[in-house]
Amino acid sequence: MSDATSGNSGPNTDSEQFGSSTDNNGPAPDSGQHAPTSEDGGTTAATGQPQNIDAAQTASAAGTGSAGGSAPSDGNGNAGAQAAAPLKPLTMENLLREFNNTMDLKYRDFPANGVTAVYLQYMIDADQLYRTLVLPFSGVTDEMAGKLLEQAIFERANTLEDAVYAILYGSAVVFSGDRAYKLDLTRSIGRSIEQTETETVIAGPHDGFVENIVENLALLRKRLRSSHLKTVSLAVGEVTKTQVVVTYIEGIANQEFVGKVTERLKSIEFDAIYEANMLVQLIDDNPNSFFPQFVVTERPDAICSKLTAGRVVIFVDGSPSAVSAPSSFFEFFTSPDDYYQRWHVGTALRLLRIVGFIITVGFTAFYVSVTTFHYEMIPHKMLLNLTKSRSNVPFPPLYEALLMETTIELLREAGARLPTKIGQTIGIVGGIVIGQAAVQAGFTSNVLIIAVASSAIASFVIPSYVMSASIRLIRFPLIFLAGIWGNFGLMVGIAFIVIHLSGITNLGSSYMSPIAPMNLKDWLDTFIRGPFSSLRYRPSQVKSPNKQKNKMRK
Amino acid sequence: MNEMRVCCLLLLALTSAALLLTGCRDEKIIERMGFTRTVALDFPEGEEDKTKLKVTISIPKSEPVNARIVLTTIAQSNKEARIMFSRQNNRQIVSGQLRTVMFGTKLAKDGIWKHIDTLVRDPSIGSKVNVVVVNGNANALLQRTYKQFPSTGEYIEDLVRTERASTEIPISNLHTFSRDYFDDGIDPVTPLIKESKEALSLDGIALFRDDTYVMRVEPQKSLLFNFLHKNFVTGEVVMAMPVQDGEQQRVMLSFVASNRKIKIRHPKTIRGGKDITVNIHLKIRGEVLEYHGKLNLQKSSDQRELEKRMKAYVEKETKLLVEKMQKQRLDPLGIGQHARNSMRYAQWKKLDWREMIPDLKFNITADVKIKDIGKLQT
Amino acid sequence: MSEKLNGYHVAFIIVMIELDVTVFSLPRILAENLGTNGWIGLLLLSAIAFANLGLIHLFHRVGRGRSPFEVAEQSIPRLLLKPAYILLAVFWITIGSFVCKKYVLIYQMVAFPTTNANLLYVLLAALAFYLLIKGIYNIGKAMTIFFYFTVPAALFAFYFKGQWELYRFTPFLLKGGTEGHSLKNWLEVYTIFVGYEISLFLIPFAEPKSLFKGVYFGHSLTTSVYVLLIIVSYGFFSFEQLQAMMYPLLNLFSYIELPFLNRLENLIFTLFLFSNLASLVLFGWMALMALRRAFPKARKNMLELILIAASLGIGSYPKILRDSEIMLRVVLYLETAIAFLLPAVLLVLAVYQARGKTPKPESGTPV
Repeated sequence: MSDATSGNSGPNTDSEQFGSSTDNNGPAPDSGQHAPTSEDGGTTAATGQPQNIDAAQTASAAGTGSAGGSAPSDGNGNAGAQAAAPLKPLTMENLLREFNNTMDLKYRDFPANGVTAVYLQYMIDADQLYRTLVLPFSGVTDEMAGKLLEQAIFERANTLEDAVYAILYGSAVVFSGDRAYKLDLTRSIGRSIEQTETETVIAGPHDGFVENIVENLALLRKRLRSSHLKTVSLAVGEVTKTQVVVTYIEGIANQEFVGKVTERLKSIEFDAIYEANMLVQLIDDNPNSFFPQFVVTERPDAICSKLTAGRVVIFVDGSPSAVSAPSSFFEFFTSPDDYYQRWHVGTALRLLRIVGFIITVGFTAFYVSVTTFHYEMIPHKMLLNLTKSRSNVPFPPLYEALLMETTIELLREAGARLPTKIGQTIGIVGGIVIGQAAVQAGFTSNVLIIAVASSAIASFVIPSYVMSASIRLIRFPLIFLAGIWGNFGLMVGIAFIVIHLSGITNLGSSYMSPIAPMNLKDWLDTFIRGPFSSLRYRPSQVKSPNKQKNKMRK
Repeated sequence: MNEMRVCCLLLLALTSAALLLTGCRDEKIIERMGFTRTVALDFPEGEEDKTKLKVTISIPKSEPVNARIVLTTIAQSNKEARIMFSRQNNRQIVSGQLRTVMFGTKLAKDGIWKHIDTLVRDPSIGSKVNVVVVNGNANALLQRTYKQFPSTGEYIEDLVRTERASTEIPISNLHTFSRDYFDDGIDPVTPLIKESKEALSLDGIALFRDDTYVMRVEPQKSLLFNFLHKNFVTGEVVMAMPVQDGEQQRVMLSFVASNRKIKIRHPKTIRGGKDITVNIHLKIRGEVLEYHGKLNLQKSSDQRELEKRMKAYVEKETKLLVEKMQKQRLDPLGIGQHARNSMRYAQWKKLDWREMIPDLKFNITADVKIKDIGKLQT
Repeated sequence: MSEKLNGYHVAFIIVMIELDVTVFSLPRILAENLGTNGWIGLLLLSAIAFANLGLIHLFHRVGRGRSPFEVAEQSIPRLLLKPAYILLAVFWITIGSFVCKKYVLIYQMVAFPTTNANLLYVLLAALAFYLLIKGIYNIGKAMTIFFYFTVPAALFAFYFKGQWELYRFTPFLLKGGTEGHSLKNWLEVYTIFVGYEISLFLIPFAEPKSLFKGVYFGHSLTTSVYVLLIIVSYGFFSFEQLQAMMYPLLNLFSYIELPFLNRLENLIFTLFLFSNLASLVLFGWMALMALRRAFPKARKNMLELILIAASLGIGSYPKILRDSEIMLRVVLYLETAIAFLLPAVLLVLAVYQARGKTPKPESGTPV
């Protein structure tokens, strides 16, 4: 991998900071700050291991010390050049040196006035380039060029680092004399806005976030026309320097949470971030929990409602999902749909999801427990049918259940990996054929098939895919426990989950809100979806300074 | 990190415990069990040895429909019998699904608490197990197959349940039996069944003195007994009144609501049963849809006449029934409970209630009203 | 630990520590010791418990919200206190262990006759440890959820409407107990409330305003759950039958038949695993607090581990149900005494300290 990196983007680029890291990696290239040459790149490529995170910390110090000399090594180029800035003057040469071995780096000069522009060819919009740069600067005099550069779209770049970043994010850097300017020429890359596949609703807006953060923020701004909507941009990922935008509504969001989120984002020292769901795992309070801790959604309407509820939302460039924080466990069971239906229907849906949750978690386990230990709990008529269906099954209910559950998971996973049409076929063929055959072959009882299938279906009622996957996973230990200790084991398992859940914090607030800490007003918008007139307050979990959200007097 | 370590620790504890546990077998995997559904207990026929017990159990099989296994043995006790059955059967015999326990007349007349006690004590047995007395031989009844009906065990349950719904018989299960057995102000009752040629039938109500079966209420009288026994609302009852004006009258009452009120009167000091007056007031309301007799029910005066006749009938017959029970020193109606509630604790404890029963003075009044006569005018 | 326990959680903590496996034999205990209409006696006893809580409340006032340990350490030399702390800790973990062990033994009787009871106990202890290390705030949250799992089972009481008769109550007031009335009888009933003294130790961890609201609410909630169950039992069972049965509530719930599920006692009794686990954890937490004071420099989670290890040892001691009942009863008697004595002593100390001080006392500084 480092090969590629070095080849294209000139490992030296961001060298400085990482320069320090280089120290750790390969002390050899002490060749001085300018050392970075293609050879260096080469070296890096060779030695280049993913940057050492600790190194980054100490980077600045080291950087200064060794004159950033070690810089080159960072094949992985952790960009954060801050340290280096004072060391390397912002000159054309330095800039080009940063980008050596970068075939897509282009520069264009205007001999008439000595202006030179440097940019990454595929990152920018050629049309814009022509209109804002090529056309105006062609054939104008020095003086005129100087005037042109005073336009607001040209922004002074003061440091080399600044310039490097600007180029990496899709700007052109324009040199004129000893000054450098940044000109944003970003081109929108990626698919255009379309419906999300994972979170569809029947009624309600059908647009979804896409991979392009610019589009996403535009979607957001279109929905939330408020100057209080703040967007703070950060770069996360030592190598990828992914743009991450923290948004919140000033005056509604609790600044404490905003601060915590920003702080945690800043403290991430991970080489690459590709997805919001990935980012989430780097900033949550309990990385070892099996439950997702921040709601991640691709729906702009959902994100807007989170923002107006006082939550902080994080966008990640390159990811169609946005993160909302803090979240509570029960938030994963809500869907924007609930608010678009009449409140009775919305309430019924929420309750249905909670029933779905219970079925998913407990149904198969309970089946195992009852058929293995507590036969007396089965009503007589049902018992005869159960015995009949189980009479040919050679293994105890525990194995039977594990077998079927695994099969269902296999089917689900296979279906998810394959193109939609094949996936469907697999589902049908697998589901019906295997199910039918398994029963006929005396492999499982048909009652179990019902239990397994209904708990699988019930798990998909949960709107959050991540949560539903987690819940499907915790079924297995529960089935296991139920198979060894019956109801006792089942309860032990549930107790474990409860204890685990109550220990989880979410940006320091409780994950189990509004059950614990208890807030009955919140129940109106958690377990049921009360009529809008009753939803008067923002959720207690977000500790909003502006608590009331509904000022209508009935 | 800490969390992680704790999780590991817990997992370790769990798995090691699980491993240790394999070996102990408390598993009761359903298809390996034989669920006793019905138990019949009786003395062995033709033997006078009262320490022996003949036990029959019926274990339903899932296939074919209505098939069952019937096992019979002679043992000292019900529990011992179970061990013997387990030896005979390819499945482990368990009693968690027990639904009915039947006692033969002979055994019931000897006292059944011993056996009820074992059943109540067993944690695997629920408290909603029907208790039934068989008029005749319980074992024989359970062993027989009644072709037109589902397997015998289920048949008995259905019979008891439907008859209970139509209030031919009072509720009787392990719970009610032991409740009334322990209570010093009431005696237990159970339904009585008997086998006929083709089917089983309800044969009235068995009244117990403590735990011994002493008196039978005939099926024709069980309705009257129910009026006295409790409040109820039910579908239909037939009142077959005796010949009057040279004609048998039958009234079919629908949607009957019967309400009894018991009032006890007695002086401050009670010297004997004679001092205690028991006033029972029965309020019976029903719809008359079928009537065989001379009265013309379209006329309200005749309706009133019918009400009067029914009232007289109920009062007379219940009085007879009560007298019969008094003679046997029985109190299945729970008069004792009401008497107890009407006096002081020490006073009640001093009384020998059982001995006082024959002397109690009963006043039974009935209030029978016809709610309506249905949709037809004429 | 930044957050303080809110009144609701205090209430649930109180309910969960008071509610334990004893509730299954409660109607019998009442019928045996107090006789007819035992629920009235229970209300009286609950009032006494309220008085005791009042005592703790008073201590809270006088001590100006200082923790009992601070107050004690201010007037009593640490040398004396340390063994007392250790003793108390051992004692409390013993109570928790005995309660849990009794539950496990009954469970064994009901469902796992041949499984080693200690094995089941290990499971509970492991859970207790997992919860214990999370701190009281999270314990409070867990208790809340456990509460929702356990207590609604009491609503099944309404299932018995048809079989419930008022006249089984009899008009006799507290008559017919098996041994007549004695302090011991009343004490035995009183022990079902044991556990509320945890409020004493909650003082530094709860919002001062809502702490005692929660405590009183929790205790009344427990009392009403008890009274509900007792009233149902007294009207459902005959009085003499109640006295004859070991665990009337097991019989009560075994009467329930739902169309899709029979014999609910299996499920409900298993649900009570939560409340017994809660008792173990909360008593364990009290023990932990005492141990922390005795060994302030102990390593993180070390004391918890020691406590649970001790609990395993203690819990494995009662091997049969009969022994377990007797031992549990003895420790509960002692605990009742402690519940009264501890706040009383502390109150005296607090009053003394408040007097001996200049108007503005600094909390925590030794005299």
